[in-house]
Amino acid sequence: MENEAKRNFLELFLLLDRRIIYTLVALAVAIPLIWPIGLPIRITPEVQSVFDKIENLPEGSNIMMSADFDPASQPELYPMMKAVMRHIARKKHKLAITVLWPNGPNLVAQCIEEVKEEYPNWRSGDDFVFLGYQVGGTIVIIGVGNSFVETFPKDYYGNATSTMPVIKNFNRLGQADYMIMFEAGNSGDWWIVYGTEVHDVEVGGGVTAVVAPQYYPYLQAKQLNGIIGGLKGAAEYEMLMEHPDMAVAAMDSQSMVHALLFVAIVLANIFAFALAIQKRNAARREK
Amino acid sequence: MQFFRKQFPILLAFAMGMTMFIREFVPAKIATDLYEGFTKWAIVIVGFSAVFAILSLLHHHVNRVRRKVPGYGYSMVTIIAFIQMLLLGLIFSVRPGTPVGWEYWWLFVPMQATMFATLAFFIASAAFRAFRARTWEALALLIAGLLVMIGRVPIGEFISPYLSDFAGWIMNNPNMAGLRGVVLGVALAQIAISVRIIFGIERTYMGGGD
Amino acid sequence: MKNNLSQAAIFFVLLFALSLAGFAQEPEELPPAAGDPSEIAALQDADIVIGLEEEEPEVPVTTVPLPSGVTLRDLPNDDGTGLYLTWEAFPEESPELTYTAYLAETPNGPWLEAGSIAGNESYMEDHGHYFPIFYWFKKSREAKLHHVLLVQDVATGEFDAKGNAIRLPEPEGFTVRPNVGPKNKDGRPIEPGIIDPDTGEEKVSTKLVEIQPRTIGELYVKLEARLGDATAEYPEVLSATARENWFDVSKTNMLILAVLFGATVLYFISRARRDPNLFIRKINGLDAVDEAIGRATEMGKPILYLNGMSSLADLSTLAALNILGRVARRVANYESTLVVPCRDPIVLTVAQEIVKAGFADAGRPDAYNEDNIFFLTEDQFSYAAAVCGIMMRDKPAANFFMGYYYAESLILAETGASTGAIQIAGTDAVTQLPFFVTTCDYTLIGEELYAASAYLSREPLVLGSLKGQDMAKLFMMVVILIGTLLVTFGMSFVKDLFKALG
Repeated sequence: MENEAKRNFLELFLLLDRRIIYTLVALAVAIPLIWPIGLPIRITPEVQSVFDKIENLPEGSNIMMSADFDPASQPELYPMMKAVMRHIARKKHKLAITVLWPNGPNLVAQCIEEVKEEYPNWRSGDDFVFLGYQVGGTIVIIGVGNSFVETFPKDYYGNATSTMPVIKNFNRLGQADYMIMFEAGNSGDWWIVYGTEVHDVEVGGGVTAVVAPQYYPYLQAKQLNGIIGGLKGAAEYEMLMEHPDMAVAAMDSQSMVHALLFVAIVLANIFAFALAIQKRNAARREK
Repeated sequence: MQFFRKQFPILLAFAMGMTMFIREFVPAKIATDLYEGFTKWAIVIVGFSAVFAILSLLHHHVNRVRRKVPGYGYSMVTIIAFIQMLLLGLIFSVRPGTPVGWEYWWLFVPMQATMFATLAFFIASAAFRAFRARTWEALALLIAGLLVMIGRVPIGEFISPYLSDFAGWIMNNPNMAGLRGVVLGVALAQIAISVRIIFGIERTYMGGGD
Repeated sequence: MKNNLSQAAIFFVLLFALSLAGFAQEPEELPPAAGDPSEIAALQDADIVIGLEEEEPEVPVTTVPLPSGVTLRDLPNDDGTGLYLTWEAFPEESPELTYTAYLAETPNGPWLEAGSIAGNESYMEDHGHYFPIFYWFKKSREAKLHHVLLVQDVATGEFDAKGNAIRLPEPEGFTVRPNVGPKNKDGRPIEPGIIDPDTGEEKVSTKLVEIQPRTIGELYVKLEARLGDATAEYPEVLSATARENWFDVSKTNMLILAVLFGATVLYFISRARRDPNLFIRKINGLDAVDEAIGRATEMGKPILYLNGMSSLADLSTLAALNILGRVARRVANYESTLVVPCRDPIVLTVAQEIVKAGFADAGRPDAYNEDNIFFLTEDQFSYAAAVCGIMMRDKPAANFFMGYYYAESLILAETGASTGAIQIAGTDAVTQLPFFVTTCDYTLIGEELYAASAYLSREPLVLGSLKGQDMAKLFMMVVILIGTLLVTFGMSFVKDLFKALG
């Protein structure tokens, strides 16, 4: 009888309704947001490389940025893009931004507005140019390799790019001292193949956690100087900037969900093993 | 007419395939100009095909509404949303501050983020259901997966910094090796299928099967 | 036995051909180095000292080493816009030492700054060349370092004192673009914010004009070393002609590999015509296609088929469409319903034709319903939401996820799993494979998707190409193994075979 009850409990756990799992995940996300734990965040070498590169460039260096994501990836990539943009504004580097995904430009515009609130002297045309979106993918990359002005005669806000002071010394990808790309898909491959390898520009990647494994081979081959991977990478960058923001705030939730999954999977395997042993013993007794 | 339906597409595929193959080995400016020209034509074709797609979308949903199939209310919402966004976008443009800009920020962005967020729940339920170690190899995979999962977040670093280092080692070594193996196989398969397409053995792109 | 021997022969021919391509590698001959330690010591003894720091409070010596062994060459494998300079590197050079190259179209100037590097930057290693075949494991000399400076995308004009552009003669058919920075009311480039005291207006810029001719003809270069205020200029003005190249020599090994691979595939295709009984291993996912369609027919539920999230330009989409044709034929035979929501408009048109042809081939053209193959949306998660809606409402009994997928793969597969459908997935998106493996009953991993058309059709031509592909993979595996072993013992010639030459 006791074995019957035990077995039922084991089976019940293994056949746990997915709605209970969803509820537990929701609680694991929500509770740390309300009552933060404050777990320490360790900086990984991949993120440190990107930070060091931007930090050590001489003031006024040219940086190319490509924000190739849409609202679906905003929770992961927006915080890192904002942290990097903040870094670039702080270091007074010159920035050119382009977008290869059609639903991305408004996100970048919003980010620029938020960074401008912190750095009011950071001006479009003088310190940065937001080139906007254009259809074409690899054609746009080849185009910015030749000339920003020819590929984007007007910027996102409708201003002529040819008269902008920032364009004077930074009119094509080859003139960039560094590039940072934020990727939620495969556009990073195009940038590396058609952009940075052709024009010999060092590049760092900010990618979602799902596609990060795809970019690690580039890191190992030194075609990327660093990777900011997922929300954790964004949190690390915010810590390096000494400006904790959305990503750091979400880290406790991410930790709790991972811990929940860890415990659930371990328990499920233990219970499955126990159930298998019980069934085997029951079969032996019946014999 | 039969020539244009059957033989001409194959000849065109061969000519274009060989041109693009040779272009890879020619650094002269003409090669870059050719590639840019062809890609611009491809963009134009995609633009025209978008019109066809819109007509297909509207046709599909109008038919559903007309026949009042179960769930035709969703089709009505789709048609109304499509038309209003098209008209508002044409009249007021799509920049922030316009009606379409408002819809983008307060409808589209939250819905997209929500869909992506459901991944967290689906991963949890899929992992709980499927991550069972039924063999020794599966057990090794499970242990590595669990350690990477916990080592990549602050709680893992809090438990032990070695977890984070181990997770990094797993990502940079065995994971990379497996990934490269799959990618190499896929690349060779893609070359083989490309050879078949260029030489007219594979004709799926023509439609009509073989 | 005969088959194995011929396959082994082909393999060794491939290996030998590549070895020959590697033996053809020979970096350009560089002038004899002045890197002999005794010569360097002599130079140092001759009071050419770099950045000495004296402990006593004396004025430090800041004489600058004269660049030596300077050569100027046309940049190979380019479109005629590049030249490159090389010169000797000393064993230790200070980052305060800078080398600057100046460019002109005549030997006497006017000279324009073409590029600048620090003394501890931009090295090129000269490894010599491989000996003939009997000593293939040894190189002719130790690695030697030279500085290299690319003089590329050369700006070759400037504005004179009156603000008029000095331009190169324009070769026929090539383009010249003027400076695109800010301009004054007369259209002349200006330095914004800097007022010329003579005119009281914004100063006309002497910024280099961005001229990008395709072949820039003969150019003259001089090289200068600078340390603080001291400079040393190489006494000779060098000249070279930039030429457009019609073949990228650095990709020779790639061309040979590509041709050999293509030839191997074609060879096995032709062999398959003579002997169509080629073995192909079991792929469970493809064997389950019939089972899935049968199950759906018994339950009276539709079959959902997705072609992936990519366009027709992606080969995985083509592979998915290939399988769609087979599935459509079988669905027509079973008299079931096939629903194909598409994300790409061009894929939609091709999918409609394929399904129509599949139904026609099965003798059921009347059963084809064009409304079942429709366009949803191009947006990633909107498409996923719409497909999930179809799954929850129509409850298809079999789901096929074939093609390339992004992050929405788990949403689709998990929703399908929750409806109890049998699911078969096939993708070459390596990041999505784990999601499909955990949620689907069968998963075609990577190239199994591409092998599907051969597996399902058993056509000799397609099977033959699969065989050729497998031979190439075997070759790559052996090369990787041998190369790894050799590199472990310091012999890198196999690794070098696959690098860009030159």
